[in-house]
Amino acid sequence: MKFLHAADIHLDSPLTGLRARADLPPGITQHCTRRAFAAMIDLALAEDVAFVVIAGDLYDGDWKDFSTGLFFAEQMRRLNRPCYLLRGNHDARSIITSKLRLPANVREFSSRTCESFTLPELRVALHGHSFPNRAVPEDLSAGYPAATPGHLNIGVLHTSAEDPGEHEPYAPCSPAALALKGYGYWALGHIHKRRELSTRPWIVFPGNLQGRHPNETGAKGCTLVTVEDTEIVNVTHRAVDVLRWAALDIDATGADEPVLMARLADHVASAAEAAEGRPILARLTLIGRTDMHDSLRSQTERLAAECRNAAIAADADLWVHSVRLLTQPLARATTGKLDELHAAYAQALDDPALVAKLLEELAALRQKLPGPARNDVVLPRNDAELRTLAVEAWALAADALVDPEQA
Amino acid sequence: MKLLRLSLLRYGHLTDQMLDFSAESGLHVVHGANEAGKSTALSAIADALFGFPHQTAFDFLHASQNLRIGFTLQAAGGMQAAFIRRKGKINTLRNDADEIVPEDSLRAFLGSTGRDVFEQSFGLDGTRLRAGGQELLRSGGEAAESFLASTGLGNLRLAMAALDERAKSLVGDGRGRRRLSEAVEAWRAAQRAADEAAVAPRVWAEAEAAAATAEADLAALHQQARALAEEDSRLNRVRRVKPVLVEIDDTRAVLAGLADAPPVPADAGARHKAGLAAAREAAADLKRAQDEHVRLSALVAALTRDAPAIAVQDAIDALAQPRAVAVQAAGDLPRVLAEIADNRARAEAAIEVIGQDLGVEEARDSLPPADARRAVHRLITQREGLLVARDRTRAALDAAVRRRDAARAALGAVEAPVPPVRLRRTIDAVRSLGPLDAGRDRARRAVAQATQRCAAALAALPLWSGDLAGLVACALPLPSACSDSAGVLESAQAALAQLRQAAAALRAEAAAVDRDLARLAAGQVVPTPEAVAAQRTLRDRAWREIRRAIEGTGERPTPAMADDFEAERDAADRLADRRADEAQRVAEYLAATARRAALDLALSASAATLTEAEQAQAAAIAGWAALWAAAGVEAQAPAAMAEWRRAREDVLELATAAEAAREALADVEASWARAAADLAGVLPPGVTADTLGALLLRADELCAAMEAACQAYQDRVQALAKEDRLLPELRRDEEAAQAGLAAWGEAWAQAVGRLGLPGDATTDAVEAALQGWARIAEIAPVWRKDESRVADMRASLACLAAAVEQVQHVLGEPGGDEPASVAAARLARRLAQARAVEAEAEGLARSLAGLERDVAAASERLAAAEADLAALRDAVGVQSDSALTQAIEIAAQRGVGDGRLAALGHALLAQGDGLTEAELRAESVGVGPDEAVARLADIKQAREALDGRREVLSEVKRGALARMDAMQQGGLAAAKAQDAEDALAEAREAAALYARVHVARTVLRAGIERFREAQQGPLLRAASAHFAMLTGGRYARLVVDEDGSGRMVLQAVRPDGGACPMGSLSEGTRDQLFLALRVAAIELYVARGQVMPFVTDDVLVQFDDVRARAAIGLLAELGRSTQVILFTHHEHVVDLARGVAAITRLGVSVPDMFHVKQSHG
Repeated sequence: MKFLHAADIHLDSPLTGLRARADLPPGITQHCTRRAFAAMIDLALAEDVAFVVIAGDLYDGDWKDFSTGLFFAEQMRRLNRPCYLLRGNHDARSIITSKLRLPANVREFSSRTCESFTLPELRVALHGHSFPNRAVPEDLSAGYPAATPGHLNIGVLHTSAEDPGEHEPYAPCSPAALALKGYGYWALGHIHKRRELSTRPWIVFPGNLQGRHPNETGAKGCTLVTVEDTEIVNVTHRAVDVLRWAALDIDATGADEPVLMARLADHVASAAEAAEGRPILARLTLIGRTDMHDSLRSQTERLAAECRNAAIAADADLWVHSVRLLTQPLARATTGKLDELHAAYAQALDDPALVAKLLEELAALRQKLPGPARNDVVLPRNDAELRTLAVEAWALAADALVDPEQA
Repeated sequence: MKLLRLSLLRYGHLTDQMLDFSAESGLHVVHGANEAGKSTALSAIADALFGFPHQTAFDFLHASQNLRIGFTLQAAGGMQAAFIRRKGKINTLRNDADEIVPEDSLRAFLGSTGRDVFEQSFGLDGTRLRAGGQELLRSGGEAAESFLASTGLGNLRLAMAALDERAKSLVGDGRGRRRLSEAVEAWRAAQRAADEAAVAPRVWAEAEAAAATAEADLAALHQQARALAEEDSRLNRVRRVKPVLVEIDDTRAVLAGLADAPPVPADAGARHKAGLAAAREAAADLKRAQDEHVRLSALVAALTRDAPAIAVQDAIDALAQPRAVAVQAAGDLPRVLAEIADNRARAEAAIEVIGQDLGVEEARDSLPPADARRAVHRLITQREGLLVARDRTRAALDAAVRRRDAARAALGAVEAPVPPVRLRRTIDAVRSLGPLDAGRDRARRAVAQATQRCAAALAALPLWSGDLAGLVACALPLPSACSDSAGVLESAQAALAQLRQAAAALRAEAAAVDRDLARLAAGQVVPTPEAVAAQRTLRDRAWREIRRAIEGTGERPTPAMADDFEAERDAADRLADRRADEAQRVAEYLAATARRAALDLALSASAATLTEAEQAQAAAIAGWAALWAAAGVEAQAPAAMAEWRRAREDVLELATAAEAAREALADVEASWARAAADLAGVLPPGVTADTLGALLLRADELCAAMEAACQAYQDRVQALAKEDRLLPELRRDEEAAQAGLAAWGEAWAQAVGRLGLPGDATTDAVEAALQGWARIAEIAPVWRKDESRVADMRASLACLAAAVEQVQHVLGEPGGDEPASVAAARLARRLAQARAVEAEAEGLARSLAGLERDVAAASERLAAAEADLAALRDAVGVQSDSALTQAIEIAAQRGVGDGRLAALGHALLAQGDGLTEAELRAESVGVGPDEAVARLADIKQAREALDGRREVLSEVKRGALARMDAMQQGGLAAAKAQDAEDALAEAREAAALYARVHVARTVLRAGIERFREAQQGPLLRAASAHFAMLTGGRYARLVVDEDGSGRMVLQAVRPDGGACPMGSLSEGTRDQLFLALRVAAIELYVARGQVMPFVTDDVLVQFDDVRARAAIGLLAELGRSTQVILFTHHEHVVDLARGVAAITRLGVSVPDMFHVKQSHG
């Protein structure tokens, strides 16, 4: 017997941090979460799983397009076998969920108390407690019942566990406490990066189904669990994402241009191989100390094109959505003509009035942005951040001084 | 650093050209006609000092790898060194001994100056001078632009404009669409679109309900249509089956009339017809077979057969293969014999070349083996290589011996120097202490500044006239006591102020109430109850007067009395009426009157309280003053005294800082003295300097020279050791080459012996013999094969002749002159003819046998047909065939009737929709054809109405399902949400990029201002003096002042004080101004220790003689602090410079010391 464990599907939520690009075919980015979810259902049918567990955040809470729920219902009809659904922080108060009539094969865990479902023919017992609200500061697992004897007990829980990482703490709990429950498998959700907190018993975050952000790199999908006689014999991650985010971090230290291009091609080829034919959105980052530091600034478009060419050579679909140059120049033995002006530029930030004025102007700039963009836009808020930005901005000033036509 | 010599060994179009700059002169004028190579020499200086660029324009005459520039430099301390620069990727710098030296060797001369600074700041030509002047005009003399341009930094204005433009394209100033605003607008639009595209649950429910309703209506409709269809079907069925039922009845009547005829088998007709036809066909076949048998028997008897030939047919067939071989052999034999003869002739010629006494076949059969011949070939080739190797190793050995001798001589020519270890350690130790000169100066300045600040602060401290010690010692009240006393004072002052404020408020209110009362009473009497009562009293008094007149005195009332009464009465009535009308004014007036009385009471109480508060304040002030009396200062207000306390602490803090500065100075002075003493201890006597830096520099130069000498000596030792190491190996190589040649000789003798040649045979003789053997080897295989073929061909001819003779003997043919191959062919033709006759005879025999079988079969078929006809007659019970025919026809009529009846049954079944005949007859009873037609028309009309309704409902259902399908597909809102997210990302990036650009431009602008301010003071002073000198006093100085638009701009000032902006200066004057600024900038570089030659090319080309003379004077003055080299092709410039400058002319040859061995390039 097999079952599938997935979480953090966020159906129909958009990809973030991706500017619209004319060269990017719309089919690549459209309906990614839907297509990934359909691929998961395909996998469930192909593997002939006995049931599917979704450990929270099927939808985004404020998402109000009812067609998303209809799509889910349709996929559930196609699945045509039990699906156990837990509400997480994102879909606790989902507008869709409250109105949607789900097919009979979908069973939703109660949000008032921990609810158990038993499959006598499989000797499986599932226990879960849906989020009643978006914020759940207490440990929900404390209210889960003792294991049902003679059954494989599966705990379904939406939680930030002990290490929320970039996320807020939600229904925090400790793996040790979960292990004490005597369950065979804990199907967790909420953390978007796949983690196995324990293998005895299995405590698994499957990660989200589809990467939706440049930081959500690598294979995304669900966990396929194989059970023999109420014992888990195999747990494997199965990628079902339809679009792969990749980070091409390339060290330019000691490289001349041909060597750099060769390194770039190697990274692209590795990313292409890992993507297994999926389209790739890549962020290219160059680091290291190199004498090409200055010349690279005017070559971001070319670097992106080289990545694309390398991808074509590797028979892959790859687009570079951003290029970051974090290289450092080689230590110079001689003094350039801009050095004294550079020193004066750096000293100008010792003027508190100038710093205050700039911070005030940047704060005003932040207010010009739409609300959702204000928090995560990279704009300095204090003296130290402003100085860091000014160091980066010197490159622009130097370019303008050397060649105003190209600035 | 000074350039003492520049040798253009191979550079551009120049070869072996030298420019010599004496160390004594500060200004050098290099004269050369156009195309003489001035510009080339100018470029050569930068290439020499900093290396060739990857691509050079100066390799058109000399190949790139052969470019060479020699140059000699002198450092500030007097140290000199000569170098050679070549074009290449690595190791491009060599010393005058043509030894590779590291680039750092130039560091002592160039310091931290890079190529760009040298070219931009220390290089100037006429074009750039004019461009600088024009830029001054374009920028309007903007100060930052001017000063920075003079230091080699241009593009400021353009750079700022470019950054501004870029910032504007991102965010702008609120006017027009920019990247950020476009992104925000796109986000809003996408948000709206997403909201519009989102499917609401209510919409889904409505569509679902509509679909369900339509489905139910359609089901009801379907039931009605079904009932109508059933009735329609029944009526149509009745109309279809009625004629069939009538025809069935008719057919059954006909069959009843044929019921008495005899029975006939069902197949009787067919059997009768088939029996007659079979009898006819069998009789015809019998006659045809008998006739053909007779004809073929006659043909067999006519054939002629050859039995003897058939008897020996195998022997004749066996002749065919040898005959074909013999015919081929007879044709080829002459040609092969000719080829054998030709090969023998070629072998005889080869034997002559070989030079041995051999027969041709003997030579062919004794051919030396191929490996022996190849071995000799290899040895011939190998000999060439061995000879070359021997010569090369000998040459290498000789060269190494020469180099070893030269290195030994070079080492012996110098003594081993002593390494300056102690001097270097001392220098490093002193240097590790940091810049002590600057530190001492800074410490002294710090002491002076701190002392001055402290004194100034003390002088500025109010309320204090004593000295610093007194200030330190003065007894200040404790802060807590101060705080308490100040609290009391402030409370008293606050209470007094509050009371005064309250009293003032009471007075102000009283005045306001007075004003209100005046306003309310303005113009007329206020109709208060008292006023009304008073007016009525007057009225009553008037009445009483009248009444008294009437009743008391008996006097008749006068009209005036009546008038008075009426007037008083009317006044009282009006007042009473007004009171009703002006009740509000009356109430306000009464309230104000009451308030005014209350205020009078409050003012009295306030005056008493105020007096008490004033007394309390006086007591508090006295307490505050007593508290500060011990400190010796006159107490001011608490806040002022708190400020005074802080100011005093500042003064004390400055005093502490001044003391710390003095201690720091003492430390630095001690370190400086120790360092100077340490250096003096390791330097030769007489080496002194004013500053520790200069002393350190002298020590460093001395130490570097000693280290260089040590390094040079060590290099010579290593060179000799290297050659000594190489020699044994080279000798071994030479001996090995010689041994190889000896071994070759032995192998040669052995190899040529296998060819039958003497061991000392020359290579030419052996090569000739090898060629001969090669020719024989080439023809031998073909030759042997041809001889073998001749023998084979002759044998096959003999074999055929014998076989033919044997066959002829068996057949009894006589032998003759007929060739064997012809006879064999003839015998083959005879056999073929005999075989053809035999085959024809066999074929005829087979045909006759077949005909006999046909006759027997036809006879059998005829008898069977006649028997079958007889049996049929018996079965029907007739005697003749005609009776049989009649009986069969009656049976056929009965069969037709039965068939028709069956067909009608089938038709009834088909048209009766599966009902039985009885059911159909029952259904038809009572249904008239006309009634059925009328009813069917009604049904049709009703069904058409139902169809129309169904279409409408179906459309409704389809629409609902389509909407549901679209909603299920959905995703449009998600797509728009993605668009919104993309727009957000765009907005974020635009904002982040704008922030970077904005910070860059804002901080750069501030940095430029700082840079300008830092540079401006000394630069402006120096440039002012230079400009005044260049213009011969026509302009007294330069100033930086604000122009009409608030910009800080550079202006020239005439001796009378009149300021001249850039636009009013002539082009030549602006050139002079730019030159003055550039020279001042060079002086700043020099003052900071960055001393490099100032190299100019025809900068005076636009100057008249007066200006040129002044400029030469300025450059000569600059030459006192750093070397100035002026290239020119104008003779008059040379004349003007004569006396103040050293004159050099292009065209002097390079001395031998700069020549480099080409082989080492």
